[in-house]
Amino acid sequence: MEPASAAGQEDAVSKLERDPGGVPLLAVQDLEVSFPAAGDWTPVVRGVSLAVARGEIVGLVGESGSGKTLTALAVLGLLPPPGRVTAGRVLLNGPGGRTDLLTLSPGELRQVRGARIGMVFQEPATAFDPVYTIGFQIAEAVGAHRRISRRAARDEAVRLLDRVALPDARRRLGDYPHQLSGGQRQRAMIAMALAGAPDLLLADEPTTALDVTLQAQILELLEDLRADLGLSVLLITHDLGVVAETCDRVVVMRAGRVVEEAEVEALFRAPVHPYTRELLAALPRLAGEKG
Amino acid sequence: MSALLSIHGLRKEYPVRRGFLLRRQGTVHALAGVDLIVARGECLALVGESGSGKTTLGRCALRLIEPTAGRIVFDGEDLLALSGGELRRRRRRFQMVFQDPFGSLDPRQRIQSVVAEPLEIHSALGRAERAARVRELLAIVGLGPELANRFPHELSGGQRQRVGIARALAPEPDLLVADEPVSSLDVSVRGQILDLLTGLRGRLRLTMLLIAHDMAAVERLADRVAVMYLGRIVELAPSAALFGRPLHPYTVSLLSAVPVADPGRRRNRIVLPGEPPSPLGPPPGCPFHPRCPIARPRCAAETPALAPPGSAGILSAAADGSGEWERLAACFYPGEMSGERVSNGHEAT
Repeated sequence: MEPASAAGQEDAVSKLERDPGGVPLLAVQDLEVSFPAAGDWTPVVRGVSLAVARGEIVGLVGESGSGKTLTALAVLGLLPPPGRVTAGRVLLNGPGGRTDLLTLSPGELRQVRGARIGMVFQEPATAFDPVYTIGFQIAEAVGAHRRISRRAARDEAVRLLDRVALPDARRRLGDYPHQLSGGQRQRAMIAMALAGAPDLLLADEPTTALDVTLQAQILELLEDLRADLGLSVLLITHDLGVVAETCDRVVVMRAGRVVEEAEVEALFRAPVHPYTRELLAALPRLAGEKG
Repeated sequence: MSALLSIHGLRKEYPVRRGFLLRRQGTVHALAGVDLIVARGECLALVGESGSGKTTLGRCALRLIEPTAGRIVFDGEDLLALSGGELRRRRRRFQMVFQDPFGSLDPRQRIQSVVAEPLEIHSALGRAERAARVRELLAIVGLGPELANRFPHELSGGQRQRVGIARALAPEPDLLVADEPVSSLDVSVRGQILDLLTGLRGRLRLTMLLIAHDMAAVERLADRVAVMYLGRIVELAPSAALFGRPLHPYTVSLLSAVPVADPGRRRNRIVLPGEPPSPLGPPPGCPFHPRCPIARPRCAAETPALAPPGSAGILSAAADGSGEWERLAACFYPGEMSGERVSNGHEAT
C-alpha cells in the first residue's frame, strides 16, 4: 500500500496547485533528509510531501522517531548537523512569487524564519534565554525584521503579549522566563513567534508539556489567531485528540514516510492505512466501554 | 470490602525560605488535609494537574516522604509509628512503579539484577531460585527470558516500563502505587502497558493506587477516582459515575478539556480562565473559586468539605447500581454545572 498512499500525497499537493484560489502557502515535495551512517548517507525522512494552504491548520502526527520534527526542522533549514536535505523542494509562496527555501543562503533563510514562518517549540523554558527579560527578547524579535525604535519595539511587544492574552502584559515585560508559569511561557513564546508577522506558524508539540486545562487555552488561542490573522499552522503532535479538535487536515508519518494524508473528518471516519487504524485503535477512549 | 490503606487528615507542608538569613517566608501546602480509604483489591486513581498534590500524596502514603501531620494506616498498622527498620521490612508489601522508565533503572545494571534486587532484600531465596523467579516475573510482564542479560539502554521504552513493573512485583506486594506509568510512552505502547496492569490486577489480586493525569488511562483502569486540586480531594466517585456525570465544577472543566479524537463532535470545551493558584498562598474559601464558572459569594468565604452531595436528584439514582451513593464532592453547588457529557472516542475499527 505504500505506492498507493504515496500517489495520494502527490495528488494533495498538485490539487492545491491547480486550484488558483488554493495555491498552498507551503508545499513540501519529495523531501529526503539523511544522516551519515557507516560511511554513507542514510535517509531517515523519505519522500515526504505535504502542503499547507492559507488559513489552514494541518496536523503532522506520528510517534517518536517518525520523522515529524526532522521534517519541520528541514523546512526551517535548522537540521541538526550532520543531517542534511538530500532531495526534494520546500516551496513557500509569497508576494515575490514562489521560493524554494532549500536554495536560499543562510542569510536569506534567516529573513524567512521569523518574518514568514514563526516557530513555537514544545518546551518554552529552553526556547527563551534565561538571562534576558521576555520583554527584551520579544522586542528584539520585533526589531530583527523591521526598522523600528526601541520604544516602538517595546510597545509592539506589549501588543503581542496582549494578543496572546497574557494577563497584565506591560508589567510582564520585565519578567524573566523563569518567573512565568508553563502556560504563560507558552503564550509568550507564541507572542515571540508572531513578532515578525509571519504567514505560517510551525508549532512542534506546543501543548505537550502543559496540563489539559492549559492545553485547552493554548489550542483556543491558536484557533483564534487563525481566525483573526488568517494564519496557517503546521501543528506537529502525537496526540490525535488534539488533531481531531483543531486541525483541518492531517498528515500521518511513520518511519520517515507519509503513510496517510486526509481531511480530518475523513481520516477519523475511515482511516485507510493500517498504521493509522492501529494508531486510532490504540487511543484510550473516554466514557467508552472498559478495556 | 475492608480497607487496605486508610489515610486521615494527611498534611504536607514545605517551608519556603528566602533571602540571606533564609527566614521562613511562607508555607507551601502540598497536601491540605486529605482523607482517603483504599479498599483491598480496588484500583483507585488520583487525578489532577501539576501541583495538585497527587504525587506527594502517593509518596506520603508509602512514607517515602514524611507527612507533616495525619495518620496512615496500612492493613491495620500505623505506618507513621514504625521505626526505620520495621518500615523497611514492611516495604515489601507496598511497591512503586515510576513514570520514567529511563531514569528509574540503573544504566549499569543488567535486567536480571534490577529485578532480583528486591528479592535479595526481601526474600531468603538462593541464587538459582532468584534467577528462576526473575524469569517467572519477566514472563508475567510479557518479556522473554533472553532480556535478563541485557542492559536498560538496549530496551525500548515499553520494555523498560515492563521491567519496572516486574521489579515492583518481585516482593509480591499487596499494594502497587503507579505514578504516571504510561505518560512517557508512545500512544501505541500505552495501551499495551494499561492492558498489562489490568491483567495483573486480576491475576495477582493487587490493590492499586494509580496516579495519572491522562483521563482515558484512568477510566480504563480505575474503579474509583479521586480528583485533586491544590492539595485537596475535591471529588471522589466510582469511575463510571465520575466520567458519566461529574459533580464538581473543576472535574466538569477538566474532563471537558481533554481532547477527544472525534472531529464529528467538536464540543464546546469549557476553557477555564487563568491557572491554578499557587499553593504558597491558596485563596480563602473554596480553592477553586477564583476560576470557577459558577462561584458565588459563599465560595470565597467558606471552604466546602468533601461530603455527599445533598441534592435529592442525585441520591435517587442510588438504586441503579451506578455507585452514585458512594460519591463525595467538595462543593456547595455540586452537579449545578453540567458540561456536555464527555464523549467517547471514535467508533471506527
